Amino acid sequence: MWYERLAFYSPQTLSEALQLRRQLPEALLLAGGTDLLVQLREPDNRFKALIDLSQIVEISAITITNNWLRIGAGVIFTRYLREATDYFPPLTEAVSQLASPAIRNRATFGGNIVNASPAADTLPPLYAVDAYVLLQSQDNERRLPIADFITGPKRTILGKDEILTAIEFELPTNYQYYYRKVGTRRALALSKVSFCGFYFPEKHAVRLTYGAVAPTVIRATAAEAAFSQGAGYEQVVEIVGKSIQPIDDQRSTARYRRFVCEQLTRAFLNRI
Amino acid sequence: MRLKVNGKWYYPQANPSTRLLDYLRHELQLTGTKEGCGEGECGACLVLLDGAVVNSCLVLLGQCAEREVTTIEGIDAQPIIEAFIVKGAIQCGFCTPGFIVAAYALLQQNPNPSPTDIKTALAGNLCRCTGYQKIVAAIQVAAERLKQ
Repeated sequence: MWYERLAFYSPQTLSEALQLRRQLPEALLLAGGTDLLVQLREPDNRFKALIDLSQIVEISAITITNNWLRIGAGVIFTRYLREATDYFPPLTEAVSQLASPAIRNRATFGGNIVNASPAADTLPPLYAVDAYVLLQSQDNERRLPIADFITGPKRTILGKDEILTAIEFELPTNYQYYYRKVGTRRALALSKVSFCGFYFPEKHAVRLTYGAVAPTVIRATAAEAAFSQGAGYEQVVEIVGKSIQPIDDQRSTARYRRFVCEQLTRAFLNRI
Repeated sequence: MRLKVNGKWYYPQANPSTRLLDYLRHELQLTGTKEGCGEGECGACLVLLDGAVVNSCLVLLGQCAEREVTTIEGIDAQPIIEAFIVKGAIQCGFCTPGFIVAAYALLQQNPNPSPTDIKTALAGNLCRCTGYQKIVAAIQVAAERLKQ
């Protein structure tokens, strides 16, 4: 591969990594590599070096404090499934359907988020609970809502000197959820559409999150508000239809995606 | 840097940005590990990294520093290979090392896999010749034999 000749840095600590990040703004950050190394099959002369984040223990912890779950950016999916599977079942369901066992043995939460695919599997549950991303640079730390961090397909506002270190969110209580990933086959398929819906019976509120039907994963907030105000199911579905902007691409068509979004929304509303 | 491959320590000549797959095939001449798609879709390049299956086309050599890689040449796969032959689970054979590595990893963790467990463990492996039923049957036979 053309990237064989790139310098390879393997920082062992976060401070070392942040220092390298500042010194080498043209270096690519590498975690599990399961998305990045596929994208790098196309030669890209912008990148002069690789900084491997996979050795950094500080960004690989899963902690729970006052009902807030924090997942380090370097946490590998298989480890999450082994150690944290019960805290937040919607995320566990999404992660267990992600790619294949070999990919899950390498791929990380941080990579899935920074890769910023509209079809990213971890994002619908994370958007539904208003998760935050934690960004660090040598002299600054930022905590941002994930929906503000991701701005478009493959686009985030990660600074040239920053590293994503963790995501965190308050674990919801007393809810029902419905998660569905629709792809060509069960394993290794990028989603044509993904959906994660939450219902909070005490508040009579829903959260409706859709993947692969807009430039980023989206929440149908207008439809959520309409539901709380007592709108009928078909009205909610209609408003969802106005929030999504599906496109035709190699994986599916806009028409099919729209249809599936509406059907998944109905399936969810009929279950609650 | 150094890494362990099939039980032996090596100090690679290749740059750490080299794919593990290329290092194994070119520098160590371990050509049992195949390149199919090069994108993590087909599983022909599966190896074990500290005992867990990974796509060696999506791991860089430098990421394996101080870690242990086991290839098809380094696992005790004879019972699985024999079961593949008996059950006709091999035709062209290109995908076979990847399937054997995946099956080996599965049977290490779960000596009594159900057909669903087997299919789940093989979800990242593609075979364009045999279909999958014979492969699933072969792994069931191998599981039986390994228990004896």
